[in-house]
Amino acid sequence: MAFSDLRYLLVLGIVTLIVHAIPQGAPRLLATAFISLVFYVSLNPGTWYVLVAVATLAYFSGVVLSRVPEGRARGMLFAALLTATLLPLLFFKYAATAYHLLPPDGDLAARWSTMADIILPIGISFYSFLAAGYVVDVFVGSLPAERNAIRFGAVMFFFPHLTAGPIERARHLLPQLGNLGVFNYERAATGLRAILTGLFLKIVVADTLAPYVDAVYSAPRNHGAVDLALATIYFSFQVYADFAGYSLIAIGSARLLGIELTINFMQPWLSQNLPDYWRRWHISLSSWFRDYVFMPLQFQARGWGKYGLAGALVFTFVLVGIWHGAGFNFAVFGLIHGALVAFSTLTFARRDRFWRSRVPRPALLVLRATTTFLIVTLTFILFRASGLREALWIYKALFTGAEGVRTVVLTKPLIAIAAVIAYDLLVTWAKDAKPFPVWLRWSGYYAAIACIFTAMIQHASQASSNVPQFIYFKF
Amino acid sequence: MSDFETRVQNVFREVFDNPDLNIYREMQAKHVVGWDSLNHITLIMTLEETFKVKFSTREVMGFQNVGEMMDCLREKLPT
Repeated sequence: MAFSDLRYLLVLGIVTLIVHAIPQGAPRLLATAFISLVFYVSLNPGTWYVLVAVATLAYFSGVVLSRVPEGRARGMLFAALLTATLLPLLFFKYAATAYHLLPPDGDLAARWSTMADIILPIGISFYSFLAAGYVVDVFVGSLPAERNAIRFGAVMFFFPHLTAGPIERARHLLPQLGNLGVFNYERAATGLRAILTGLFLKIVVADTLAPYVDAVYSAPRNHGAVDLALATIYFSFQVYADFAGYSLIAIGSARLLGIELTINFMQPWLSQNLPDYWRRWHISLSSWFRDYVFMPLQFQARGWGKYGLAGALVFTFVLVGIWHGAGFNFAVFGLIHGALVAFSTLTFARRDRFWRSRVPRPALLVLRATTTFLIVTLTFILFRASGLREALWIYKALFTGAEGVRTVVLTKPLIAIAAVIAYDLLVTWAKDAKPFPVWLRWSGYYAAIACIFTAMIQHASQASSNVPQFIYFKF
Repeated sequence: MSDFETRVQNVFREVFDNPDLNIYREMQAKHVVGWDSLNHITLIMTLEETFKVKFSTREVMGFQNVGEMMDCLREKLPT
């Protein structure tokens, strides 16, 4: 059951009531962990045990690391435990790819043929990163080990973040467990608002754009440059609305239960440069890589000055790239982003002085947001195409202005895109503005609900429409 | 404020280019304008140069606030 399935809202309502009704303390924590596990098993009946195994391993890693005295042995034990925590992720994510690298007719391929059929357990990246972050935090001493298995289970299994993030930190969730199931009007109201916004972004925007993107990207060679450009731009807004929408539903669900999850998106298409973009896009992932990969690497390489910084950035982004998938297209995506972020960071001060003295501020804001959007959108071709070869073909077609049939329409997708941009501008502007009057807010809610139902009816009437899955479920 | 804390504060003021910045034990990156991951490394490196010490990666990853950073630094100084 996807978060955008209206049956999910019914289940969420019932779960919220149950969690509030059960006595606070161990019973409530246990009930939350149990309900979350049932939810996860229903989504992922085949390999749910991987979640339980990773959580159990992380729990005991914490306990063991907190008991072993400082020294070389502790460091080696930490390395072994961290590797073991991440091993299921590496195995499930890359086994099928590794299999395809074997010579197809050889003995090995025959013996390991089951590897090709391995299905990624839902959410494995997200819970593995939570577990790995916890093990690191306990090792470096920024978090005491959690000895209460029920508390740890409630955090690891907490269903709102389980399937596609936000990637949480145990040090963020553990201190909040006292609020679990404690009703707070303000938190519940903002939770419902987040769910409504998330449903709007997913159903009205992402699912409206999806068929146009799919039509072109399922057979890009049948299309000309105009179609490819439009579908690529639509995809940028689709993936944003899809994932930011999902994240908002997750955040809203957690708030109804009293828990604040990490904000995952902050209007990324208004970013002023590439480093800014990565501070606003999939924040829980970029901050995880920043804290656990980039900063330790950069610290190690601090003696090498700018080269150390650039190297650490490129390495980190290549990892971010191949986290999305084992293909070369994802590695190249990471490589380009790493190189561009390094370039942007190292030259920003000089470029900033140059442009500020020549272009008025409002124009510069728009110009920078547009440039950043276009650069990221171009790299998204690597992300959306079926592989590196196809991505390169699309680049060539775009830059040579390839002729082809024009099938992609403008009106409906542009309305959906205008809605996202309006939402982003509104959120940015409303941060410093006075709260809107009640009638205006409620008009907005009703309008959003009307749009959601209209879009759902329209999607259902389209022949190709099956229940659209969230894009990030496959990571 | 001790002489040691004043010296640490001067490093903060220099790195974050803010002559009025006052540090306190509970202070974290979110409380200081410009304290991002890049400036964090600059801060650590400037502390290392100023006090002639070396931090380990583990120590740096474990700092939760300015207080913990100062405690770790103080332990490294000759008494």
